[in-house]
Amino acid sequence: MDLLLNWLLRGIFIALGFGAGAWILEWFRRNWRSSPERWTARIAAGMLALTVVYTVAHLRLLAQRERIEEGRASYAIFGDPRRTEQRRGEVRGWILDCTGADDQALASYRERDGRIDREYALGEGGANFVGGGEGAEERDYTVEVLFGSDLREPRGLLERGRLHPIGTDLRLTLCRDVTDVAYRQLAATGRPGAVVVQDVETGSIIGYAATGGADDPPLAIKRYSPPGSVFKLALTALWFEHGLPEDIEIPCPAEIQVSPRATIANYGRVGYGVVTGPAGMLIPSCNTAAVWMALRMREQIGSAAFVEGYRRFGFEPYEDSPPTDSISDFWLSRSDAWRERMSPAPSRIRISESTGDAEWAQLSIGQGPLDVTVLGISRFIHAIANGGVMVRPRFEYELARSERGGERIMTVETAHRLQRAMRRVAEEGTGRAAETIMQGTGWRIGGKTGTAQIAGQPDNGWFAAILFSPDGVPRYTIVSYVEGGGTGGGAAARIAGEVGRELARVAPDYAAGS
Amino acid sequence: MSFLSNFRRRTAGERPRGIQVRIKQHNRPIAIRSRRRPEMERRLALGVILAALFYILAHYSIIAEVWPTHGTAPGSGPLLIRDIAALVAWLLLFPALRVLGYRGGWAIVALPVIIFLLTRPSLFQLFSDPVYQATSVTRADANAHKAVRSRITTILDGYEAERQALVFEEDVPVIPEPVEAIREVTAGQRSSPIRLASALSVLLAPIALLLTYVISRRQGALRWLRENRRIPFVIVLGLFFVLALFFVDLGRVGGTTPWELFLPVFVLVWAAVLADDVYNLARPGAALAPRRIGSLLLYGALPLVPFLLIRELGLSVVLAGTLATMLLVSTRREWWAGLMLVVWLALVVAAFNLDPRSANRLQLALDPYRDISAMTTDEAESWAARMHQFKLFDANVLVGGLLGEGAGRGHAETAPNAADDGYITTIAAHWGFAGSISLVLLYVALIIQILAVAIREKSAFERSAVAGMAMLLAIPFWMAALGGIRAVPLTGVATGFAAHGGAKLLGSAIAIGLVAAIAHRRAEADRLDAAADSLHAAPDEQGVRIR
Repeated sequence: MDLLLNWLLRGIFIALGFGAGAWILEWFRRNWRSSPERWTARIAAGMLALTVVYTVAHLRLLAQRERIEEGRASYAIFGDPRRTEQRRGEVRGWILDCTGADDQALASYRERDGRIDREYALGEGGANFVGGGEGAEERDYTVEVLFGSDLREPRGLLERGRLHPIGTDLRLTLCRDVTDVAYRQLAATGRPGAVVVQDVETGSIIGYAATGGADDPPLAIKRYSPPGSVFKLALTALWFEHGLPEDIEIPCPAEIQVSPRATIANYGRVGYGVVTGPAGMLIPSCNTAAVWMALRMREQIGSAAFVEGYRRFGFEPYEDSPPTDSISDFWLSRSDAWRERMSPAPSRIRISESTGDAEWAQLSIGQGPLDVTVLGISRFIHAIANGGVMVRPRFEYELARSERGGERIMTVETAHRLQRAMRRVAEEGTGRAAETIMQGTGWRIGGKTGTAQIAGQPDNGWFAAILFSPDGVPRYTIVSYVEGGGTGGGAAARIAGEVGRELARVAPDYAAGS
Repeated sequence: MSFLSNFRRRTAGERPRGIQVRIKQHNRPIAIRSRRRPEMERRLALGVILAALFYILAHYSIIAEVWPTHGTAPGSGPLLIRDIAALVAWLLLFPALRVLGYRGGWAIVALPVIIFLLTRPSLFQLFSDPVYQATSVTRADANAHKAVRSRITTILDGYEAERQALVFEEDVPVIPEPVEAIREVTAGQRSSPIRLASALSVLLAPIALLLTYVISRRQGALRWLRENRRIPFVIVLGLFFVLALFFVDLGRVGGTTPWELFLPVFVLVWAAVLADDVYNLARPGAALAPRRIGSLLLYGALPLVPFLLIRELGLSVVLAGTLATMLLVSTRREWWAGLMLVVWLALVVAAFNLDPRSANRLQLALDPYRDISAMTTDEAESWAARMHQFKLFDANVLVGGLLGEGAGRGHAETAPNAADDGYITTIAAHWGFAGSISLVLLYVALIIQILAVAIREKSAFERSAVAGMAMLLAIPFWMAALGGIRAVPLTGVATGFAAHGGAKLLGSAIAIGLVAAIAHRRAEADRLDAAADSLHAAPDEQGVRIR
């Protein structure tokens, strides 16, 4: 009713205005030449000229919308009653989790002491992705902010005329329980870090937890770190992709001389004698075996094949200046603002034909000029779990099943070999902590630990995992990263284990929801 | 001649004696036959009806959809009654003029009424909003209550029961009344007699228009003013100086701007000066005679002085522009236009170089969103305070987009002075670019209608007076409309019929009344001339038909 009324009113206003416009033109047609009072007629013409000036000036303001909004935003710290009015008085749509249930909503409204406040169920756990938490006003990269106009969008045509529409809900693929567990585990370490969980079938983000204040860039998306031994998965993938033998015996001494002045040692300077094939290298995460593989492979397939292979896996090779532009097509999202603000920095590796053996060896164990983001690693691990096909991560529920094709970055055989190798790492290698936690659930976890070392700083721990359902199908990937959290087999693996356990508990519900 | 004599029918004794002759209708000459009461043009009548319909429906939309969400302010009930009374008063103008035998162009009266009816609902929403009514002391409370009220009412209205149960775990809380937060403070303001009179201007304005018309349509009233111009000039100017020197507080007297009412008097006096000396003023040599220069300064420049005293730059520009235009229209000399352009440019350059306030306004219009990172904290704070109003005016324009948010929607009430300085942005918020350009076209049509009266007018005094009245409406309109969207610096002048401003509305109504009277007299004179011509026409064309 109110919509119809407003359109009727608009119609009357415009009809009267344009009726006046038609009369003005008619008047000039009749009087311009015949008017005895030249100056009076000229003044009338001046009125018409000013109408044109008004039109141009008004349309100019509309055309400068972005610039004006930016300007308003920059001065908002000095107060903006309209923003305050909108923020405090409006009702936005709810942000629902992967189940779509109201009582599982990630952002909703709740009455407290006579006031109606926006409530964020994840608290600080959702501050880096959904919104809310401490410093929520200053964060300009959350779903709440970047999807603000969608959340304010009236639900239908009939709501458009309302002063305060109730807004449109946004359902995410993010699952509240999983994210909550991930954040609590992360917070318990007392260290900065991030956890990203993806659904293998769709590539959807179903868990995302990260630490970091309002002034920090979003950790899982913008913060660089060397991946440590997680990168050995990429090296192994290259090995398999080039048909090199799976059961070759590889020496795994405590340390290896890679140049006259450089040696690379295993963690704790422990030697494992001889390991069988790349999987054998991965189980104890033998650095010296990885170096041997990298140098041997360089001789056999050449540097260019490495460069091309890493690029395919999502690691951008460079020679001189590192690439800095965000990966614009990383996300599958309908929000331009999200893609612009939240596209991760490119995972990058300085590698070329001129790279020396020492640096080549370092890169093979995920150290040296190699920078990755948690989300970048998650996408790579997801591709392994997805049979070698890399898809664009997504988090909007309605897009979960869109664009399923993706890009094949390795053969199915390679992906399966890597999955088996990761299972063994969890069963008998450095990822046993995660496997222990998963016991009794019927689900299985496979993974790869990473311990990134930065001079003068405590080690950063990585654990990149694939969660297999009881029937052995890869269902979810989990990447956990704890800055200064020690080895990957420690806190990072435990977090992945706990998140996996939670997924095993609630996965049937999600299956129904998705 | 007493004031009341204007309304009294003349007795037979005052007329020349003669024989009463009754001529049948079909025997009357065509010109005489048209003596029946003039009808308003159909499309104009339709415009007035549509505008009245708009006025009623827009008020309804605001009351039904905006008030419950935001809560109403104290005074909203009387405000509604006042708006209903205003509608009746403005619409009654038309039958009243018809009864009085008005023969001028109906558009001169209809267009201001249409403009008033189209813009008033937007002002009604602003005035009835609790925060707009609040003072700085109560604004925060009113805002907080409004916000809570908005959310509760929206949720109650839009959410299904299950979701409501999740929001309200127990009972629905008490819906706050923003009214309560500001009742005490605004009660004092409402009881002020001056404020009350100012608030009733929407009712007084149609009466003022009618009275001015009734008085001015008699030849004697304007002739007396023309011949005794010194008397009203001295009285009004003296009063103006007294007010400016002793009673002005922050550019206002009791919260009003009574000098808006002086402007039509200054215009009429100036028209008289020009009419009496137009031949000499049109000759460069004669125009520079000391006596003539003295006269120009006395009647053309002295009225500007009190405006400068009270630092009312906007109205001084309005008056100067009006008087200059009248000079141009009267003398019809290009060199006056050139001279005035030079003087105007010199004044503009001087103002923007010497007066920090003017320079500031220019900077605000050009680029309000300066790079904040290049300023110190103090500079940034100071600039933010100055550009605050523009920031919100721009927000009004942007939120309105092309078609607007609808009656009372879009939160135009958050912008300071959204009902006066930035009224065009309020219209833009509610009705978008389409609405604001419609308003501009209607206003331009009104001004051209008035100028058309000036073009038809044969007497120099009346012609320049009507041109002056057109400028009294046109200049403030353009200054406010273009100022609101940052095309020119904002000067804070009110716009008659479209924006808030009681004195401006009264002054504008008087101006329209004067124009209507002059238009009526011209139509009457033309009709009589036509009738006289017809008497001398060949019998086969205009004669009496004998059966």
